[in-house]
Amino acid sequence: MKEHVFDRYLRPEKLKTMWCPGCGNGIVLQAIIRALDESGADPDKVVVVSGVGCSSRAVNYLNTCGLHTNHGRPIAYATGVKMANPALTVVVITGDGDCTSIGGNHFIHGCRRNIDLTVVVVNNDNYGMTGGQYSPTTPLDAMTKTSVYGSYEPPFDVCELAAGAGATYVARGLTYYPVQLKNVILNGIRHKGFSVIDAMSDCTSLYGRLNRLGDAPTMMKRWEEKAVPLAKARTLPPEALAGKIVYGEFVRSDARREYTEKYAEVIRRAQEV
Amino acid sequence: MQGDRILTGNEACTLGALAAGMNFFAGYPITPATEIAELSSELLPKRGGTYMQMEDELASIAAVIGASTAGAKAMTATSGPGFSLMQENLSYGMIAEIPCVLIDVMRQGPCQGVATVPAQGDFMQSRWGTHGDHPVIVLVPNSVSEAYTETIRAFNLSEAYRTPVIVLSDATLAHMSEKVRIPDVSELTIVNRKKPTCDPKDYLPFSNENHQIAPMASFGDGYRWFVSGIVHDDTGFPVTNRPEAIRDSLDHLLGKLRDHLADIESYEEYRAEDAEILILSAGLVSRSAKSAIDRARARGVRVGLFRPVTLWPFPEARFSALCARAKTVMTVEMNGGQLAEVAAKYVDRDQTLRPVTQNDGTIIRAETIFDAILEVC
Amino acid sequence: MSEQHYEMRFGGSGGQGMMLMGDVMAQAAGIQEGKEVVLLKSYGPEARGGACRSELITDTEAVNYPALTRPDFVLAMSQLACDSYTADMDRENGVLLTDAELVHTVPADVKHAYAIPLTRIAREETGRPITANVVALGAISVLSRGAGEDAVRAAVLSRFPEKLHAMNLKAFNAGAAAARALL
Repeated sequence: MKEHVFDRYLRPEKLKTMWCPGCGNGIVLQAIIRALDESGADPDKVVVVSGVGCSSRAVNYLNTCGLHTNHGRPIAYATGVKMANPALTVVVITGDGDCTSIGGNHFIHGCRRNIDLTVVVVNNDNYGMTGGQYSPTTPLDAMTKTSVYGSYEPPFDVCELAAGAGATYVARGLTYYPVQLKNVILNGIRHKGFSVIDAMSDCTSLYGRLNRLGDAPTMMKRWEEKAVPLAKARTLPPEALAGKIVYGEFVRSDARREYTEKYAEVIRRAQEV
Repeated sequence: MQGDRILTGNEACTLGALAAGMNFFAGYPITPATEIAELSSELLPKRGGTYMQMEDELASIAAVIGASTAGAKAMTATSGPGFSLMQENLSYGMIAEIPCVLIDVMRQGPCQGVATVPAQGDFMQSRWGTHGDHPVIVLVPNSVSEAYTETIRAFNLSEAYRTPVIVLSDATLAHMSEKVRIPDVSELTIVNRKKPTCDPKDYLPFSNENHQIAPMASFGDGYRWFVSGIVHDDTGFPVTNRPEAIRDSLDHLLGKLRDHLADIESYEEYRAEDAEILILSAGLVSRSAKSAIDRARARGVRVGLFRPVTLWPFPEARFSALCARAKTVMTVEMNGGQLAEVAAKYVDRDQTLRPVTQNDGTIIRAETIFDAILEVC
Repeated sequence: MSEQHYEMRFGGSGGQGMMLMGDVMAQAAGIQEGKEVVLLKSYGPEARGGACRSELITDTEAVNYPALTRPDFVLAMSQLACDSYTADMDRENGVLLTDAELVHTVPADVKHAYAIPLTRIAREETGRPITANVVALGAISVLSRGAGEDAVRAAVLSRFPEKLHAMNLKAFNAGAAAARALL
């Protein structure tokens, strides 16, 4: 029997996952697996680093090297891994809270350094593991356990944040479009530089329930209305994009040198002195 | 490089680390530890190593631990405020059993305190600063020479026992220069972590049988192992629902040091054998105690020093043996009396405990200690 | 602390090379002569302008206390340094060396006070006032017990690239000669 890609990349003894029925994490995980497989990376040379949160648990199921770190810190740990051995393919799985709140500083500095990491931000608009509190990406007026009168904090746009801080590959995908999601993760892995993929996902049992978004299939269906591909978005007036989520590749640039390459140059310079 | 050199404490820590094989440093500038970062940034790339200036201290120790999982011998250096920030990820290194070295150059006071003057306020933070309960190895040099040799030993212990090791320096030791004998490389004992040789499918990165230290693969070596900050079994994967597995995992952290105390502990005794007054002191200030002891001995006072170089685990067997013979136990320390709290455990009701503490950013003078000795003898 | 315990302080203003003086004297005493040394430097904003200093303790035995208690020798290259750094020195047996042109008021109760126009000598000998600290090192090697003349000279030369040796040697020897003339 032909080996399935999941057989190569999952640890069957660690399944089933701890995620709720209808959660988007599984779709993101399969997209990461397919992207890694298509990238041709040797699984022995792949290190997946995660922080704390529901999506970060993905690293427990992957048959690669895994580094399940502290809340908010995976990019900082991954930076050390990559610098110690630049030949490794290093993928970070992080959540919206992990990455843009408690880990916000590490995130923007990773972008600024342009170190060759692929950061998949599994963005489900709330803190799921702790029971559904609002996060830095929770939309205004959305209901969460700590915004029971509607969220009153303006949200971050993960892609704008990454682009502004200097990431050289920035894209958004959705669990509703798993092939497109896999493709942007694959492009991120192939890109030599700091890659950020904002993976829009659904938290059905908390965010969905608190905002009366229906069951999992209904929640997913809403992306048909809400999600606009970048090429189309560019043709639309701003008012037509109100409340929409634009997906696609926002930044793909080779203009800046990658950090480990830059540091190799520092070593050369130091050794010449 | 070898031969006598005049070095500052910070230079000695850096050169000691390099001699031990440090090839990765990540840090964040902070007085009075900055020169360790500066010198590392200059010397590491010359040897093909990596210096990284991180965005904060959280990231510094995180990158150090990350680099170590990929095979690097990694170090960071900081002072009180940064040491506080590092506690979170330090605890990761402890539970995940990742070797690395952290130098804390102690400065005065809580919060920003006084950045430029020495203190010994972090003795207890180095022991209990992280959450949860785990043992820790902390080394306290009292000279620039020891800053060199103890930094090497810190790397060796961290590699041998797969654990972060802390070196406590202070603002004066960091910036003062003394003569250091730099040995030839062939004279140095350098310990490197044991690597697995088994078939990857049989590899147990956290096996803890008899508190032996499991071999540690580097990411990319062909062993697809998993590292977690969650309590784990010998495979590294979480076990959070079996009390006996939780116990075994945490017991191992204690046991792996407890079963090797003879190798880990080091201390100095100075005229302590027959001491009726036993002084407990660590770090630079212990040298003032020696001067005071010489003066008091000249007057016939039987006083001596016990100086833990390994502050934690505290070398209690020898200390308590010396304590048992003393009438008075005196601590000499630059804080509010943290060693006195340690000593209290070993002092009986018929013995006196006399802390000599000074918390003003200056090194306690021999005269102060001498006067205290005369008061109690 | 032995009979040979000796405490020195080198004071001036930022840019006069006081840190280098400490380095050279520590090298001379510690490496060339094999003594125990503790070298201390003022760090931080203190070292950038205003009075700054480095301090050296030499001994034949281990130095236990890493600070001066009663300096046996003080160099003052500026009035501010002289005012700031002489209060605790040994009045009876200690030696104070000042730059004769830059320091006008010296404490009257210091028995062994020497004034040498260090900066002027530097200008005359090398054309470079910056070498005043090397002139001072020459004088110190004669006037102090920190380290002997040969050791200090060797330490000075070890600090500079070969092409600067002649100039610094000239400065050093002029300083030593000026000091000998006062004894």
